[in-house]
Amino acid sequence: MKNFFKLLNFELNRVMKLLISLMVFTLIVQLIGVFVSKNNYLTQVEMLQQNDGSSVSQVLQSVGYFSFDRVVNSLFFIGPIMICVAAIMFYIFLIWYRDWFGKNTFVYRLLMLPTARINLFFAKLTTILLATFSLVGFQLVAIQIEMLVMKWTVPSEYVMEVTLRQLIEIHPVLSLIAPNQFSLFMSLYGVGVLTVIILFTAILLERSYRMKGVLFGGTFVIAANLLVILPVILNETVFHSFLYNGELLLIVLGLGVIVLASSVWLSKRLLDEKIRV
Amino acid sequence: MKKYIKTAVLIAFVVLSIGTYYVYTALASSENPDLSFETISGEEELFEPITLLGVYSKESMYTRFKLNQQGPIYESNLNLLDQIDGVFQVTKNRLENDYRSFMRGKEIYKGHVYEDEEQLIFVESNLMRSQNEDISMTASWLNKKTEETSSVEVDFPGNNYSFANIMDVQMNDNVIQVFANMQVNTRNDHYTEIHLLEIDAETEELIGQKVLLSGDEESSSQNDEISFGSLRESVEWAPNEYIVIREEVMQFDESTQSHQVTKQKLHAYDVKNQQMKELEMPEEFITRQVDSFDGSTLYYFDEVSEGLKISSYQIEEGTFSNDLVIDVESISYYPSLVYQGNLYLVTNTDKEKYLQIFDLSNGQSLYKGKINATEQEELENIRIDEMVLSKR
Repeated sequence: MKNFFKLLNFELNRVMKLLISLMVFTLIVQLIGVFVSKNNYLTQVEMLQQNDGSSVSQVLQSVGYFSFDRVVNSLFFIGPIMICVAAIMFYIFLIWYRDWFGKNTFVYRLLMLPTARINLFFAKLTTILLATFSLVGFQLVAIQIEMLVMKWTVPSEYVMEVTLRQLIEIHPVLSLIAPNQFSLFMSLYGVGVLTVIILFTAILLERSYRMKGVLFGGTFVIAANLLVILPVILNETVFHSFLYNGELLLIVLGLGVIVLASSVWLSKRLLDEKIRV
Repeated sequence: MKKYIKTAVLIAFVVLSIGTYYVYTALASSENPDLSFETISGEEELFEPITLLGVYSKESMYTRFKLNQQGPIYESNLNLLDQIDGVFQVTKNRLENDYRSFMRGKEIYKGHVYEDEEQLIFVESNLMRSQNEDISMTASWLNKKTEETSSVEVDFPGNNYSFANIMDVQMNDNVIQVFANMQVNTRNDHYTEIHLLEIDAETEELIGQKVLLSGDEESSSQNDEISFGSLRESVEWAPNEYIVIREEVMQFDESTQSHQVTKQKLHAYDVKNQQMKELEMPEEFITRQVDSFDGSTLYYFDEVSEGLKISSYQIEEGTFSNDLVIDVESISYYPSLVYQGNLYLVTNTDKEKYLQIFDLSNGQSLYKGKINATEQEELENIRIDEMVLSKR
């Protein structure tokens, strides 16, 4: 356990700079988004007031209230989220390959550590998870800050306040990264963990068998995914929805656990016996 | 220890930010008001088989709920499994619980189910014509006493039909009657027909197909377009004496560039005697919306100063019975249901909502229950959309 934490701490320190830069980048770009949306809106309001002499209620009737929804729908808001998602996807590969291709084959030292090699696998997995969750958590905090800034800069008679929960409910991207229901959150990130484990195993297959390993890894990814969703496909096509949703979910869950366990087992064998430096 | 500080801070940040958010959403969903019925007069058992479906909305958040004698169930409080299992499809849920094996693989659509004491019938359709497949339907039925199941697939005869929609299913004398709205689509003709397909439950064969109404015959000029729609019954799966179909003749209006309804008719099919007839009643009743229909009588509601005036048209006799006036505050846009000769209504005053049950033979109030919320002003955020029979 202690070794695992040491490795985790080591991996987290390596990703920390990236995480902090992503957070700062997200906050800055999204704040720019707040100002841009606000300026667009206030320009419209001013034009109406100056050209037509509209009153506040007339303005509200023609352009509507300013709510944070306008910010969320702009590229300034969604862009940084997409970049963070892409960065994490990229880092899933980088977290392994940097040890091989970085300065003086670092992986050699890692594999020689007096600890079970699977700890390396779990430390990297936990790092990816914590990195993702910290970005999600940061986004939840950032939205609150951005909403405050919006409230300070837009005259209150034009502001319609929405809560974070409402925003997430109506916005598809937000409800995907932090769904309002905890059970949905667990399910989505459960699928996420399984995906990362499958990808890690594929990477280890490649690192063990090199060119042939690319083929093995690709086949493994396809087979593992297919196995998990096979009941759903079969139920829709061959069995004409013979299974009830609850039963289907249990089978998919069961298969998910089997794929997860066998993937970890395969990774352990590869790390212990086949991995090449 | 110092070297772990960054990791510790990161983990604490994740737990705090995400944890706080989910604690907050959990608290928000536990704010859904607890609803209950407080009996003012009458017997509570009368509304035992009734479930109300509605929406609770507050500050642009909304959640569906269902409410019966046991209290409310809110969608936002359900777990994922119950959510995808469609707790709000009351009939589907009931049938899947009671006839789990028979109901496997069956999608429920309105009008596709028939249920009486002895039989449960289910019709599924493959109604889009494709290159190599004709439109067809599958009828499956369960004899509740013997627990025997049967199933038969029937091709819709004729190949001029591009689309068909099942409107209703009935059973009479061991013959399954399927009413379908069929679209004729040939090079020269486009119109709708109402078909009746009869399946003998004993021999499991299609024994008859009749065209009950045809848009081609009914139209008087080239520009007419005729549509047929069946009246929704109070209890969609229950045996009915009549199937009532509304015919609308529409003409294209050049000036508005849209179709305008120029004429309406109501047709009733007598399920037992297998005859079609056109309902003869004053024009105003033909063109207005039927507020409730229980399979044999059409009910029309009008709010008057003394309460609610109910005009009932008996299809068999072809006459209106004497108008009833019942004592209610207001029914506004709320749904109603007629079951076993009783009228179920949600009524409201400015601030309060009631569930009321009346005997339709004499207008007497059988039950009045007040809907209470934990905080009474929450009732303003409650909307009731549908009233369904959740028990046989």
